[in-house]
Amino acid sequence: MKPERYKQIEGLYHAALGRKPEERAAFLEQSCSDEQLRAEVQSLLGYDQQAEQFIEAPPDDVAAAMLAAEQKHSMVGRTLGHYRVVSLLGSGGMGEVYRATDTRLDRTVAVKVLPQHLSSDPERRQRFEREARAVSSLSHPHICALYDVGQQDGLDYLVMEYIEGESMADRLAKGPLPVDQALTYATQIADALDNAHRARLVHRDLKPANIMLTKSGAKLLDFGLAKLRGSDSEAVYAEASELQTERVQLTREGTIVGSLQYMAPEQLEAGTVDARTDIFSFGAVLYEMITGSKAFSGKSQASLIAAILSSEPQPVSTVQPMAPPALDRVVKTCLAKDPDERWQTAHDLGLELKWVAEAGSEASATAPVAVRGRNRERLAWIVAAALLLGLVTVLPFGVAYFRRSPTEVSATRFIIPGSEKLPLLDSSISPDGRRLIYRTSSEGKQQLWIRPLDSLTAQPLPGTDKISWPAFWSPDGRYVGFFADSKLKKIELSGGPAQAIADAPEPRGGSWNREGVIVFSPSTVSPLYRVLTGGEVTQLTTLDESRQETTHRWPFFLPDDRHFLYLARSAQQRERTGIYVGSLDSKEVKWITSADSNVSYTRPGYLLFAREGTLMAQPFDADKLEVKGEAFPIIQRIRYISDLALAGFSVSSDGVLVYITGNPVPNQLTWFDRSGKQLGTVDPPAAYSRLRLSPDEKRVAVERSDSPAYYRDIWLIELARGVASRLTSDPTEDSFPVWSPDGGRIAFSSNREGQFNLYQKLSSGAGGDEELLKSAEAKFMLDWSPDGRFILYRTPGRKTRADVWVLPLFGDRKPFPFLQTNFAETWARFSPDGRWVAYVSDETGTDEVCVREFQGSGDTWHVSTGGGSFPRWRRDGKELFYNSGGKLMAVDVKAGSGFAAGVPKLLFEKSVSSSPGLNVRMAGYFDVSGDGQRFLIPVQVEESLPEPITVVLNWTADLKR
Amino acid sequence: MMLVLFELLDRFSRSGRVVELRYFGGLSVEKTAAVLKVSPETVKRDWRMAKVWLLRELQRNQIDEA
Repeated sequence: MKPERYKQIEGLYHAALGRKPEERAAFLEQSCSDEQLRAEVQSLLGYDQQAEQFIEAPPDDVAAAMLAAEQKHSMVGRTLGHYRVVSLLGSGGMGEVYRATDTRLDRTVAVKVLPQHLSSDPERRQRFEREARAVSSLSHPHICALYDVGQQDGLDYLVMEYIEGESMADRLAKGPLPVDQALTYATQIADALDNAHRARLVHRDLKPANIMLTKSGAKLLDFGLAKLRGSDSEAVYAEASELQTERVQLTREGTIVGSLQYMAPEQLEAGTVDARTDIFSFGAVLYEMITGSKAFSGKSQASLIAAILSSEPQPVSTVQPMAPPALDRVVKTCLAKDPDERWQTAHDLGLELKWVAEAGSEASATAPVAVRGRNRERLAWIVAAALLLGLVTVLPFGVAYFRRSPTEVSATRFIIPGSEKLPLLDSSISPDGRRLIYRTSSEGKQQLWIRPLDSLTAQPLPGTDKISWPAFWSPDGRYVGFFADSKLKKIELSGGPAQAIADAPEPRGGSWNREGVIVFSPSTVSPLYRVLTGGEVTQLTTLDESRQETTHRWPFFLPDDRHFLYLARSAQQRERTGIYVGSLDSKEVKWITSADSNVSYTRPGYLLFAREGTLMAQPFDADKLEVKGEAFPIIQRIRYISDLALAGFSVSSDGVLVYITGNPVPNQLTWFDRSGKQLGTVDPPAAYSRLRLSPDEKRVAVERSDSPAYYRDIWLIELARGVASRLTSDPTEDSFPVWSPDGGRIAFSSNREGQFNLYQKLSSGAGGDEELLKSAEAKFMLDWSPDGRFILYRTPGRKTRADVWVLPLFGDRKPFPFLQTNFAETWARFSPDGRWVAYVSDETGTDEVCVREFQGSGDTWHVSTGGGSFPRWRRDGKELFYNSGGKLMAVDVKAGSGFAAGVPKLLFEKSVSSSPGLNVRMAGYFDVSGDGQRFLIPVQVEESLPEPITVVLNWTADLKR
Repeated sequence: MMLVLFELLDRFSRSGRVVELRYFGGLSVEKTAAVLKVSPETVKRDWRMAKVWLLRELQRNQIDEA
């Protein structure tokens, strides 16, 4: 409402008040034609009588009057039920508290007598009793027990555990608590909250005044009693009178205090409350325990509320240097404005606190925490909270999955075609099987699209234009998680910008459960990590060194939301590369089946995964976590990217399967001149990727994929005659061919023994493959020094991202790092004189071509600007060529005793053919002749169409026939 | 609920100020008038209106929540 409107109402209201009550209606009728305005004033007039005494007395007087009224018929010495009141302990917004003796059990109890106005309404009384019973069912060492409720002589009373100690509020008045003590109390309170939340009870009014500190630890008072106050107008009333009791603080600091200070944003805004509301209040209390200052404060209620709704308190550790840094994250997550971004259960919170307490001040921000707590329970208490709020809506969580009609007997197939301009990379079906997201590639840019299956059109999702690898759905289908810009991100499908959640420099898949936990693989050599959206990232699995595991990737949550499947690759034992199941609750993992790819589970109980380019299904019991039979093939030639171990399929929980087949796309090696004019082609066409001209330029060594396995082998092609011959034939990936300086040998990488190791072979094809270097991490061949003494190769770099290493081919042949920083370095090439190395680094945020001396100062020269990759030297060392997002660039260089680079110039633009799904960094498939005049590039054969996405509804129907 | 009060305090500024000073500050009508530099009559009018408004909104909210 606008202030002007308020003025109008006010004017009319006072005018009407000037009339006799019986004349007011007629007066309004006469003087006001605006019906809404009239109704507004009428309604206010109806409250006039009632309002006469409302908030008329200042809060001090209200409290005093209440106290006086009670003392008039003082409770002391009286007996309520079988409780004999001994003395007054204190009074507050909820009435007076007395010390009393339980005459039956002969124990001391506390009796709280409610103000009479709370118990006058019979309906409210009923609710009061009902809810008090629920509270009384709580039994927990850190919750003040509610023993009994009763009524006598029109007085309602609660009988509670008698607690000796001081309240947290009194304690905090003296300053912050020692960190270890604060953590002990906090863990106890979190445990108490967890206990109550599981019983579907929300505290609603957690604050220092409601926490007693006793010899046996913290005790939570007044659980759920905020609700028992009956109505929120009285809560306000009670609040106002409580302000009085803390007036000292009010006048000293000039700030308003009271429960308000600990209320969650949603409580203030909408009055909605669930367990996460308590978690916010808990965070505010914890903050104060550690720092001695309020998390939120303001000089007026309005500014306090504004602070709670919008500001973030200073990190705990900056206020209290003794606090472990990990505590910042715990508190920050408690105090998230959006309940969805907080710790979702007090249990999770408690575990975090325990971990912080145990790790002490050494604790960094990564907590190896396993979390228990069933989603169902959480839903249950959300429903409970909703019911407590008196909402009639019942969440239909029992029917989270819709099932298809059993009369549907056959599988239905249809296809979504890609286009030449927008080849489809991969797709992911929504959990309900009704919407599809898929990735396309266009001129080096990748984009995510969404398409409902019952629609013929797709929409691009804004903010996803740098996406890499398949996206994944949130279980409710509202969000999509994806990887772009070296980050794990989420985007809400109904709109809004993409939000970064965690770092993921070389991501290898993610999965999202109903509790909001995302498990993901941030890099090519990492185990799995977990992150609660908005929380911090913690390591979840550990690479098993006894199995020489090199990666955990492509996680996939099972229906229980606690267990997840993932692919582990082993460096030395191929038979240990396959699917494992892990758990959020324990470190234990279990071998499931051998596989080469990502895995999905689908009802009624199958695992889907790829083996050697074929999509397989294997019966699986998701409760016992074991396979129930042999794997069998369902789709031949599924698209498979072996570098990534990624197969192009996705399946919804109830059996909508989408996939892309993987016929390797044929292309033709084509010669271009410096202006981009085509000079000629080299036969035969095939699915070529990386290539390397021989030193004499008579042959080319090239990677080639053939159906059906889709693994690459190295082939040699005689350029003059167009005769191709296979150099390697191992049924695994043989790639990254590099010629020896004399052209007599080819060095390459192969994962034939599990991990990518380095091998060499005579280029005549004679003899076997000879191992050059075998070790635990993946190694990709980059270059051979002109003097033949050194080999450069790339490793993923466990901590330092991609690094370039040197393998000396003499002496002890002990590898040493050449480029090892926290940035990714790769594509290193020796200058023709062997003195310099051109390479690619993403130090500036994008890939750029740099040069440094091979054995020298370590000074770096930047060659490219605006992005550059895959440098190649001209034979005389006076020019460098590189690829900048499909543009072939040339730059004059002086590489002698010093180095200098000129201004890069564009030669021509060619969309360099790339394997589907490979990112741009890997897509530099070209080589240049020694004179710098001719470029050999694989170009896609025109008539080949991009593969469509096939959608199969009810794919299991075909199995039954 | 609570926000009703603060909406009043924030948006209808003089009525809000009157509630703040009268109720939370415990000032008399006269003192409130002096602080706000208006007549005591105006304070009384604002006060009456604010009370009615607040009471109604609080009770309405109570109904909404039930």
